[in-house]
Amino acid sequence: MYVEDLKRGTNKEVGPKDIFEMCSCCIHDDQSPSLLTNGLIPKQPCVIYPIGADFMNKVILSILGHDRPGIVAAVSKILFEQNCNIENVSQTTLQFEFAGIFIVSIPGDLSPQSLHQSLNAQMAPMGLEVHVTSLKPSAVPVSVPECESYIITTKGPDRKGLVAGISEVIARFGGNITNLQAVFKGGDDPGDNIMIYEIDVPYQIDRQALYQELRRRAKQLKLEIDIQHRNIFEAIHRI
Amino acid sequence: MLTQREILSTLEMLKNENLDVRTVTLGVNLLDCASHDIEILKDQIHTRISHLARNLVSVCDQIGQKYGIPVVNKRIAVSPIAVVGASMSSSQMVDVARVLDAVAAEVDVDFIGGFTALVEKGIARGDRALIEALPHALANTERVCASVNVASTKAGINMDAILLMGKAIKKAADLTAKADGIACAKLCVFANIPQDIPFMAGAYLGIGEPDAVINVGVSGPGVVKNAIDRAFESDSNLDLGQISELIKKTAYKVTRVGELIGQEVANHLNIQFGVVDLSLAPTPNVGDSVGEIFQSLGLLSIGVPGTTAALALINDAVKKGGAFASSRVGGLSGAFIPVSEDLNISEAARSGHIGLEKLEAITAVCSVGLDMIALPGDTTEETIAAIMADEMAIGVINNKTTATRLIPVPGKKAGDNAYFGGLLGQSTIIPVNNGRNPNPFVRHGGLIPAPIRSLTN
Repeated sequence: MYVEDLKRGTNKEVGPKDIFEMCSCCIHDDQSPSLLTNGLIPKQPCVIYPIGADFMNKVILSILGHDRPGIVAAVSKILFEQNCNIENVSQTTLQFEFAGIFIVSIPGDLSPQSLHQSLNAQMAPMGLEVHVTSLKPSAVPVSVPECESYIITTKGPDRKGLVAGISEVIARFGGNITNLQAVFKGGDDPGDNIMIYEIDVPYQIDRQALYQELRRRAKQLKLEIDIQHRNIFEAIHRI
Repeated sequence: MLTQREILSTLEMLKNENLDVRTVTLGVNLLDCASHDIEILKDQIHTRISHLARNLVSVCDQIGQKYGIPVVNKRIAVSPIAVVGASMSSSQMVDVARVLDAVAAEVDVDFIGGFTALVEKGIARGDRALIEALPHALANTERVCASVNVASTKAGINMDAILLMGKAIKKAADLTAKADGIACAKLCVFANIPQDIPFMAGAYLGIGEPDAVINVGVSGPGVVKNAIDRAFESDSNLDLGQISELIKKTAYKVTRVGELIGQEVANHLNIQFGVVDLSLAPTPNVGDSVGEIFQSLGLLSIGVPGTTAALALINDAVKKGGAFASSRVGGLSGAFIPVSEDLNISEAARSGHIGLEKLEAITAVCSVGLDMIALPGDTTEETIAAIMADEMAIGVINNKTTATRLIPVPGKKAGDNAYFGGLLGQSTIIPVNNGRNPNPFVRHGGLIPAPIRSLTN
């Protein structure tokens, strides 16, 4: 592995046993870290990692279980103790169940399996499940067509197959669901089950055909359906 | 990510509170169609409008569908015909009205405004021809709307014009006696007419506007009423300041719809975007009433003591919220109190809670004027002129727009029902003080001079 010597402006070959310092802001797209030699002051606020760490590896961590205070604190403590860095995180709770996804860069001398073990040791007693997988960056970037955002709202009595039915139409037309929420108005009115789908629709697909198909499917499922471009919600509610 | 609240409250406004874009009005310049030859004039007018408006309805529908918000009416407003047809005789003016009616039907818009004369300081030849043509033009067309500006703060009040208009209104009513005088429902008399109103019957394309422009009228009295009801349900101790704040925020949301859709229609049609008119305009549909807002605020009915103060609060809050929501605000931007078009207001008239005097009083705090008021059929033309003069005076002195849309219903008297149909609704005929007698005051005629406040230079 080569690292860039920022002070000398050269590249230097290092092996797994070499000792060097680096900071995360200097990690390039090809994931080769940079070398901070002594005395160099980083330009931006940097996290300087302990000598010996290697940041080639990233993992995705998912945590599932009953929500309670202290989950994120417990996870992040273990990650810190294991010299890992949380690069991105998203969490959500659904009916008191917690689900969190963490993208973590781990040091070269730590395997995903042993990270899983350390996490599991702490999380299992808390009643939480842990899953760790290596994150492999894709070799070729997936080309994403230009899209518009729409909001589909369905309302009607709950039954099996509602999400399957609507999402099938969306998928068939090449739409991608970016967010899905179920709203239960809290009453006993079965007709009040509302689903909200935020979808990205590529510009080139036939909108009219999509609308018609969605309406037809909604009718089969006995749902009221509304399909609206996202901008109207933003225009009304956001300055 | 949008929140559930944002999505669900928007849907609630659309489905249950009558939120919609009330009108998208395409302004079309006809000044360069002017000709001494009536056939050339008619032909140019027809070509110009049918070309510019060919996609108006389909684009509005398409964009309405994109956002799930209906554009209820698509309309056209043209340059003042008294100017465009300045060399025409009054019977030729009627012909022009017929052409406007025909092309409106072709492009499928429900009204075409601009059969207009501006006579605040004097009546020119073309203006006179148009005014004389009004009764027949309105009786023999369906979609043509007319307006005459008889006063302005800068010019004063043209009593001669007002007398002519009193005559014209009576004649128009007589010609459409079988339909309760419906021709008068398409005619407005103004003081300080704005040049970019998207609503009918006052819409026309002012001088100084571009060749084509898109103006939008939103509405949402139902949304405002429901917001007030919900607020009081969760906290019955709200004071008027807090209510005003709530109306302001609601008006913001309603106006944003108009701004978004209007800009997009304008882009699609490659036509300049003009203004959003913030007016709260009701329809006879249930839940789409301005009158109900007064009840939500705690008044027994519109018209009882407290009405004028309440309207001042509502109107001001709507303007503040709406002004922030749009890039350009114009048109009337006031609260409409159209007696026949709002179920609740026509009921208030029927039960005697609101009469002509109170209707006139509230126009001082920014309701737009005496709108869709059915009068006894035997009201003299001089009385009608006098009612108009009163309303114009309020506008001229207070430097605001006021207007009248008065309908003397032939053969019917106070307390009878007048039925206009569709969006024009129906209402009880209200009594007029001294309505059947001559009025020597207005008969003096002449020009009431502009008030001193007009000397702003």
